[in-house]
Amino acid sequence: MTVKFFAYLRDSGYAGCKELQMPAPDTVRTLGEQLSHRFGPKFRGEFFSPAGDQLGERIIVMVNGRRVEFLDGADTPLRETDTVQIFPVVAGG
Amino acid sequence: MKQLMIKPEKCTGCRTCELVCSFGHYEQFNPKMSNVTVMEYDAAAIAIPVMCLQCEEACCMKVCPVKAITQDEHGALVMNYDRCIGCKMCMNACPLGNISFSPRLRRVFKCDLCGGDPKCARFCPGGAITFVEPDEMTQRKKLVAEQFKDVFGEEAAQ
Amino acid sequence: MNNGYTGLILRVNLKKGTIVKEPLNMKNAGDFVGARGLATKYFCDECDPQCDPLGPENNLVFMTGPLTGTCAPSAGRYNAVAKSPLTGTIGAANSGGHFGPELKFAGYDGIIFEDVSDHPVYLYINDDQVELRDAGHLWGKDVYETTDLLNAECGESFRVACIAPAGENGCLFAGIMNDKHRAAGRGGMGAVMGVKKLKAVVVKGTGSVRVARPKEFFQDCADARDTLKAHPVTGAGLSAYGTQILVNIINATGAMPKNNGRDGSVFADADDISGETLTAKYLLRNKGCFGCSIGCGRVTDIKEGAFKSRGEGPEYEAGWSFGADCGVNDLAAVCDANFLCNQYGIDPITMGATIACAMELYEMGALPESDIGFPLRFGDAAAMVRCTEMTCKGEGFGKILALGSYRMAEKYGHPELSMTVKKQEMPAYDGRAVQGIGLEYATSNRGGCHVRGYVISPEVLGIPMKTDPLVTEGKAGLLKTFQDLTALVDSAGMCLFTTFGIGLPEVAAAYRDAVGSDESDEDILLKGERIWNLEKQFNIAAGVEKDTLPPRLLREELPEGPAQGKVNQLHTMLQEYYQLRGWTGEGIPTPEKLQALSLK
Repeated sequence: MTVKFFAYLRDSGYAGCKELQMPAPDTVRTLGEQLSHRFGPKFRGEFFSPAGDQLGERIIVMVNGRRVEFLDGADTPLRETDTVQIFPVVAGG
Repeated sequence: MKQLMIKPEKCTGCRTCELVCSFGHYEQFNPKMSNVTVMEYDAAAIAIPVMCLQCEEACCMKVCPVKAITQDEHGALVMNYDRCIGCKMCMNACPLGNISFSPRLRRVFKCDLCGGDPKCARFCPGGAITFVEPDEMTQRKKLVAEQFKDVFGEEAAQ
Repeated sequence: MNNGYTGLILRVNLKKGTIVKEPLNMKNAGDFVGARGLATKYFCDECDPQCDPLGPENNLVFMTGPLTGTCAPSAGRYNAVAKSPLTGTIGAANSGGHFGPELKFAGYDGIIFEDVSDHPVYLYINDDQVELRDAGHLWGKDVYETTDLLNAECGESFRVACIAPAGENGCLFAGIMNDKHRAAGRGGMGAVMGVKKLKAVVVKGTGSVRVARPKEFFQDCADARDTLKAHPVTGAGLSAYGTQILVNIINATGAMPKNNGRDGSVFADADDISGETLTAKYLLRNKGCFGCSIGCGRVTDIKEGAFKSRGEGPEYEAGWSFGADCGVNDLAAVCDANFLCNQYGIDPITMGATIACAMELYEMGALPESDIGFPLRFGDAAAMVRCTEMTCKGEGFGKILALGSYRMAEKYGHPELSMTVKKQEMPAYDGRAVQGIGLEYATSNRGGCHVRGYVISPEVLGIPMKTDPLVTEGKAGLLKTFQDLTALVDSAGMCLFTTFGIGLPEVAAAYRDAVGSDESDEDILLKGERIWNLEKQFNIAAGVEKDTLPPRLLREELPEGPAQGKVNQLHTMLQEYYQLRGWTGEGIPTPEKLQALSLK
């Protein structure tokens, strides 16, 4: 599975890279746990809500270009062929 | 005693400081009546807010023939307009050009630190103007150190 | 005055050479707020909707809002309004920088330019001193040269709004540039200025803008600024990366049109032209417009190579038009083309999209190489920049490109390949992958445009709420609210980008305390709806074509990405939209609606 990071999430202190390949965990939540374990508390603080049970307000997680809110949220299942895109909240125009 | 501190590399040239300064003193929005002025240099890609830095050895205060400039409890050199005779000696004496004359108000004007809570620092969006204790200025050193920490200290972060 | 307005406007008759200072119509200011709304009201009262946009009857109105020049967040905007030569609709182009506030400090809410001059002139405003001056020596100069010459002539603290050769030569999407790099870009307001032989407006002011309830107003602004500061987008993201930060997320959504939309909307090289790459490779600093707490502006330097150049931007839409839409993945070329647009005063969205259309026509064999002078294939960065330069300077094939993609594609027998609505190019979001933005393009009062109702915000970015881009349900109502609020924000003189962090309550509070009104939030939002309907009335009277989308968006299914197989379902949204607007099934405001809005 491919995981892509954008904006400041690419910086050291967060993911420190643009993308990585990894075996697909069962759900987006598990992915968040694994990445937080790997990257540390700053990343966890972005990925999860303060209570730790939901996705954070400052993050956008997409699976194959679909926001997980329109799939099964943090319980969205993942497959080896998926691409997960992780953005901080951004805007422009 | 807190000091105004300028970091031009953070100035976006938006001139919010000029607006809030004129409003704070006159309840009007008018950059020409502001005690702080942003100088923009297009070719050098930099903008610099300029205002009185409240000198310890203040020429303006020394030169004033009627002792209209005094230092208040916040360290600000303030004008007493009841005494000021409008001779503009202070303008001429300031080596930094940080005292101005307003044709509209018919008087000289300069930064007075807003009585201890300067609005320019409060509202500066980019953090180019801050109002800090001098020992807080070591923050800059700390920032550099933190960058080293972020780059080289990944193990420590985990 | 103590109500946000200066209370005076300038009426300049360019044929007679007369300048009259007249009191602002306060009844109209109350009903139509300022800037976009008030300029449109003045325009509609005085101009025939059927007039030739490039003729003497088309007035050009510059107008600021009641918040312009105050410390309301990002309140440095003015609008330029005229009948658009590109679309035939009402044209209203909005710009930041420092020009608008300076006009107010000089004592004027706006300027109405009537008729045309027989020789090039510029308008000089130094507080009370206002005069038309000869501009023969400036004609033919680009934006940077013109601005520098005028600053040398009038004084360096003057603010300059001007046109460049594109506007002088009648490029239908020439913009008005102020403070060198800021643009009232869309709809060809620069071409209208060119016809008038009005090269520039220079202004310096020493006066004040005052508000009705200063203490309350200041508190409103302080609160709004704190909210914007704390918001991750307006407080951090936009200043760090600029609007180009959108490239990757729009592309991930499968909504970034590639190769004129012919090949879908997933651009494999998106990251090469992204905000992240721009920041890492070329960014010198970020820059804020007047009073702006966001600072999305980019000062960008391409230090070497074939596209060595320096300027401001690009922002997202231009990054897309010269990038993905032309199949170009060379960010330096994208920047170079964007800088050329600034220097010569043209709208980069229409420019890039017109070149993309030409590329498609060329590749299908409808546009002969002999007309262009060189091959023009998707992905050819050098050819893209060359086309931009030719259009800027009015050379060769550039004269055809200067007509915009609709007139060009029509000339070559394929108007359906022009990605336009009402002859204006749609910007950087595919209406097949994001349903609501398709409805916005179709209904926008100035033709294909994203900033009349930026529903990308809820549909993709999740601000202020998350809605699914692939569904049509609820989009009509959402869009109506966005369009009305945007009309209000534009007319107040604030930047639309503030609405990523604040909304109607904050804008309405600042408006109330500036003008001294006690109207409710709903009453104030109603002004936005009134402005929207006024614009629509003008377009109907002008005989503008119906609200629809290019056939590509309605019939060609997206070949890949998260929206694979989708087209825009305009028909399922449009009738609901008309109903919510209180319009007939043909999209015409009903007499009851007009009466409710006090419009005749």
